[in-house]
Amino acid sequence: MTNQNKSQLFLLIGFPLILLVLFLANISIGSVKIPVWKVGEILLGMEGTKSSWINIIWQFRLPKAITATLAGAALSVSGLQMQTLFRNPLAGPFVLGITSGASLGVALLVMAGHMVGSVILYSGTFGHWLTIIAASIGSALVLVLVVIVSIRIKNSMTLLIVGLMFGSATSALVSILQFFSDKEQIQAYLIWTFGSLGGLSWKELNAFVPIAILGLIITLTSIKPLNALLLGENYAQSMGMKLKKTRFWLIFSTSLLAGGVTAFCGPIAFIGLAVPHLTRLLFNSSDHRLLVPAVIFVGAAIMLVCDMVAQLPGSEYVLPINAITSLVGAPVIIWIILRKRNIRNSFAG
Amino acid sequence: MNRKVSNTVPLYTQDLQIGYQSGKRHRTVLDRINLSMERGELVCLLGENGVGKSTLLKTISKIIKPLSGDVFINGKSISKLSNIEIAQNISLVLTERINTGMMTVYDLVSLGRYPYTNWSGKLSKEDWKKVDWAIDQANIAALSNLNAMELSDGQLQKVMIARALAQDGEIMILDEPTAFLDINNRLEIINLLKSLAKETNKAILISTHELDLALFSADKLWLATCCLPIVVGIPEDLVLKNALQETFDHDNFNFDLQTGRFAVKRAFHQTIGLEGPEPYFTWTKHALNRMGYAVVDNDETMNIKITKSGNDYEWKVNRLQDHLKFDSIESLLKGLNSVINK
Repeated sequence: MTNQNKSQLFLLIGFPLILLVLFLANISIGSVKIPVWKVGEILLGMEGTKSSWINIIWQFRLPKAITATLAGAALSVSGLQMQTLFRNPLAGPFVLGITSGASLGVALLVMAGHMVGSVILYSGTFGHWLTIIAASIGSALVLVLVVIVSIRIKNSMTLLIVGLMFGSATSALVSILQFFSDKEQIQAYLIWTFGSLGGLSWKELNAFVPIAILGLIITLTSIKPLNALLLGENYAQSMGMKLKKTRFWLIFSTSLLAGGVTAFCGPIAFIGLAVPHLTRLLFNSSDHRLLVPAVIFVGAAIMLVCDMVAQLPGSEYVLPINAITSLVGAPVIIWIILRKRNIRNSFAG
Repeated sequence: MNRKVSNTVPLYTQDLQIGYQSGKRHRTVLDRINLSMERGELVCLLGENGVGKSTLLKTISKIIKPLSGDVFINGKSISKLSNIEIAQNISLVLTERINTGMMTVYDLVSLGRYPYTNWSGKLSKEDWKKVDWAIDQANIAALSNLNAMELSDGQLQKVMIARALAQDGEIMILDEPTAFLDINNRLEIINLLKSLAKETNKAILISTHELDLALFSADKLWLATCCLPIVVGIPEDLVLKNALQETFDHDNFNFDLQTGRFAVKRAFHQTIGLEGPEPYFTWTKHALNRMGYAVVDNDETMNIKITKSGNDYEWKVNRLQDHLKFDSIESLLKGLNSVINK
């Protein structure tokens, strides 16, 4: 085993530990101050703490930490898949128009609420589920179109462009809807676009967790074709990889992962694009056998950190997660690029 | 006819028609293709750019479908073989530039084992052995821990050849393997392929438009000319049959039967006599030809004689009454210009 392999192994063992620490730290932070040891006691199910604290931990912070972990992992993995599939460093989970489709669904829902003259449709528990369903239908529709196109098209670059076009068209529809909407509707829609990790209760997690895990399992079974794709589609096919089949599964799992996150948490930017690059540089590898698990850990860890920053520790405000992911992430990436100067080399494409 | 080929022939085609199909329209590139390859043979598919070399290679390796006819690998039609089975028989080296990011040469070569590994791509002992063997055969052991993207073009080409070897088919197909390489690397790659064909007993097919490399290395040539059947033979027979001249028919070039090279057709405007020792004679002639002088043994008006004076050589020009001396070919050419323009 070479030195490089050793350090990779160390990182791969080290990251789950870091993740665990971040997970606990994430739960410990919030507008209500709860001592860390009390958090531990509550999580271990010990008696003797304030019931309001138990409630906060179990009904709010734990679901939110689980959501952040899964959302970070899901977005990062789908970003990695799209970058490898399209051999493009600027590809991310949303290049195929998933967010735009979801936005259109939510915008239509808000607009429908406007027409029946009520805001019930997008507020409260019922409204929350409606939003999730609308976003899912919107992104699913765009993805069905993309998949149909992908079956007919040989060239993945064409598919990328078609995906971008779908995205632009749906965004245009959203703009038109906004134009005809009231202030309240636009605000409701805008708040959805800020993204939120805290909106999921255990009920919603019951739907989100299986979707995300199924998506991750499909990716894990695609590791071998992903590695072959590093040589480009033609070489991959010459080694016996079935391009259309591989492409279908990659798009399918991306739609589960990125579509799921967007439906439940709103559009969360940056993570899916940046984490794969960050991970490649950290682990100094393009091998997906290492990258896929590593990206899961790094993505989850960064999302947990971003969520903690969004809590503005010590204050009662919670900032939009979408803004924090970019604010925290962008300088980190710039710093790494300037230090290593080889993101171009690190990227396969 | 080579239609009655036994099953031991690794690759043959039957009335193959190749080209591109889009909807109901199709464009034939090459037609009536009946070719076969033997084990241990280096075949050069030679033709001008755009004649359909890549299309033929892609059709043979089942990347595109034939318009009609069929390709047989070990006696089986490729239409009946799965992608994995094709990959186990044919490995490719393509012209496209790859960017694998941060991947070592060793890992890149081991990707060649793709058609043999399970779903996770984990290599077995047998696979490791094949990878080591391929790296050894391609003489790239010294590179194996380097990042593949840090290699020179020539080194990377050897790595891609090793990857194809690791894929371990009986047939290896390389599309323009010497394009983008300098002369040393071109020769090295061609020699490597030649020895691989002999030592590994694989059938190696390369496409190229570089005639000189093909002439001096191929066991067999496939000459592709637009709209005509492909001509097959060993290089020397094809030269003597004038087949090369016909394939590379061009207004500005002549095929020189003596040197096996194409030379620019020249229009000479004047003759000049030249005598002297080699290699001075040859290179002086070369320079004079370049300037538009036809060189003869003895000319009526102008003669050049190369003689030794001390340790150096000098060029003496006799033109009617003029007698001039020069100490280099450059000054000779300048002198000739001024003499003639006088």
